[in-house]
Amino acid sequence: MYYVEMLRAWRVMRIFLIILGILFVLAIVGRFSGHGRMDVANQYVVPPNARHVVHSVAPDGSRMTSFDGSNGEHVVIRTDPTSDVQSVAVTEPVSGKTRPAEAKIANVSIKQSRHGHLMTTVLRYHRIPLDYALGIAAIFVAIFSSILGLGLSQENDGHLELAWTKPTSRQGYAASLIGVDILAMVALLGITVALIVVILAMYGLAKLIVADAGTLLTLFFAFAYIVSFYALVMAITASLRRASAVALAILWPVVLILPSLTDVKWLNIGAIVRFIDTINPLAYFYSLSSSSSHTLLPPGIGYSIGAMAVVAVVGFVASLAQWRRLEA
Amino acid sequence: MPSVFTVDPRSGVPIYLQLIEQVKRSVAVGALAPGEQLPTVKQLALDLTINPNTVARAYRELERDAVIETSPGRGSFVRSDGAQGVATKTRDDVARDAFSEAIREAKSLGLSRSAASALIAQTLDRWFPKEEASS
Amino acid sequence: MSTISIQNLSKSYGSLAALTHFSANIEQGSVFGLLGPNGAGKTTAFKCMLGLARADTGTVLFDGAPLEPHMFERIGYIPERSVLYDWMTLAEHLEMQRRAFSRYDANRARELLALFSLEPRKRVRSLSKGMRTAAAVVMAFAANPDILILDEPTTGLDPVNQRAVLKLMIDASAQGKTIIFSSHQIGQVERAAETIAILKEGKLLLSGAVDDLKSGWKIVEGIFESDQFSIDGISSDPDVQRIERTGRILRVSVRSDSDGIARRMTELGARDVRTLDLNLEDIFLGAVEARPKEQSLDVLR
Repeated sequence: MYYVEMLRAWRVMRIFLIILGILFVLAIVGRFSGHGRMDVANQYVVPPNARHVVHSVAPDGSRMTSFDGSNGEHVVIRTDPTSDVQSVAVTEPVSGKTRPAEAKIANVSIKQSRHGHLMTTVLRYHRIPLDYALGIAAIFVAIFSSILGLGLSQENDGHLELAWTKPTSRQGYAASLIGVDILAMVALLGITVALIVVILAMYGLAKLIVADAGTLLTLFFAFAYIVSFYALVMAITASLRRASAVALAILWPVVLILPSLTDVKWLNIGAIVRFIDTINPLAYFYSLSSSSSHTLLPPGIGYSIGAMAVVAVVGFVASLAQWRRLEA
Repeated sequence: MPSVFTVDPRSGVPIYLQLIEQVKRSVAVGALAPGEQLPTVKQLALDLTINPNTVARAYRELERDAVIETSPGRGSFVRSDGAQGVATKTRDDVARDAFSEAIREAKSLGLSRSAASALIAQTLDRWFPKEEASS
Repeated sequence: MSTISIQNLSKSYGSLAALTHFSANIEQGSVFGLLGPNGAGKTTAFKCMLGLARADTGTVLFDGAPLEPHMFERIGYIPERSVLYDWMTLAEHLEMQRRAFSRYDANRARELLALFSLEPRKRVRSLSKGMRTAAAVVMAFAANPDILILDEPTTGLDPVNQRAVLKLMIDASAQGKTIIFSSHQIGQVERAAETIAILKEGKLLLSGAVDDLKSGWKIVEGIFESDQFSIDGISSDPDVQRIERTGRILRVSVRSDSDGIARRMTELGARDVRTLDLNLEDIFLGAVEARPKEQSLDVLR
């Protein structure tokens, strides 16, 4: 048993392993063609022409360096010894009349004061959470799992006579197919994360990788995300034959675009999208990386994992119900 | 030996009857000697590409007609005593069928009973001259 | 023991009645042939027997018990069309069978591959229709089943390989296995089957032992003086199945008492009256092409 299921999963997995292999080769080429090792201790260096250089220690223990640059800017470097986070704040005069304004993009914040000064603060993290690797790997494996999710539909496309005349029940057959696929997804997730770590190590960044209790939650999230997407594809395509590939080709852009429409007020589209997105695993991914929710549920990784687990279970039940009702 | 048997599955005559007929003829003309072993049911079925149960049915009827005998584990053999009786019986059957066919033909051509009878007598005289008949 | 009992099986696809009240009993160790024109319901009958399609009514019992998944261990099935995986090799298909069926015989599989000159390393994608049929035959027979359900098991095969499949069936039957098969080639059914059923438009037209059908049916042919002749006493005979009237010639398909009909024809003034044996093809065509008796008689009168 499990033989055809394994062959099928392996057949799809091979393609993804080849893609990973190509990425790995590109990383090796990049590593040995000039970029070389990145210096972990590569901190902001005080330029030689700086004036009024002052070193001090703040009351909270941060080491501080301030100086004036050659273009009239004032620079304050603050390094937190416990978190390794370094903030570089550059304040420069702006000519003309200015209004106060503030903007923040990722780790860069820009603040303009009434007095004609522009302060740019860059936060430099000297660590890479493993969660990032998990997130990237999860997206990659989701493509894989969506293709594996066509399994029942592919059996329905002219192979039921073979699948159903083995000494196994229909549910047993579907369960073994799903089981093998989940193992393949977990394996590919592991391989992808491992490869990201290896590439980081090649660039000398291994010691920046950090993981904490939250990373375990992210792992659950990644697993729930992959499996729920698999179950969603399976539930949609179980009764289809050839058309399942078309359905998948339509599904991907839909799940990608829907979460970005949750704020559309026109015709109440945002609310409808939010409703639909509650079963869209990708929407939980969007919610994770922003502070707002794209679904009917409040934001938070716990809700997301729970919701995706429900999507997975309902998807499998719906798939099995269809599988039992099919006819050869 | 199996090569002496042929069947025509497309004939309207059931295959088991064709087989019985052939075994009887082979015994009659001596192609199958008394005590000679017949192929197994499976072997003959495979050689002729016909259903084994059909062969088995033919063998059963041949056994009932005392043409062959089957001993379990050894196979089927032509009976030493039955051959002559079978041969006569078969000869009579063949001849009777041929006569019937000829007489039916004569009747359908519109011959009267006496005309047909005269023709038969004439034909008999041609094939069986008087002295042979009396001897 | 492997007797198959089919009772009152019906299946419709929408408004199309693919199979209507089909019943048959297949004895252990016997070979049962299913005949019928395309779309007669043969494949539907097989699918309903195996639970691949849900029958609307009826039951199928294997040794008195309804089909359970574990019983597929003892059932070999060759579907009408190829259901093999294009992307897999023959060797992989056989490995699949080996893992699924505990009675799978690897040596037998090798012999059978050689018999049909099949190359196990080849992918199904690259095989011809006939080779796919042969591969399905190898897979079914290598699993060493007690019951063989073969839907057109010689499709696309050359005459040599057709004969090889027929011999495999005969060999299996000699080992006491139960076989039910369908074929377009009446000659094959005539050779291999003991019992047949003829289906048309989902309905069972005729069934019985081949030998009984052959000895039970005769054609009585009579030539009359003119084309104005009476068929009194013939058309009313319950044993008459089919009456064909062409000019001065009358052909009557009759069950059992052909002598009676022959005598009656002579009394009605027929000159040349002959009794002919029916082969399976005559019986098949007679059953499939026959209009209902009453209707054909109305036309004749």
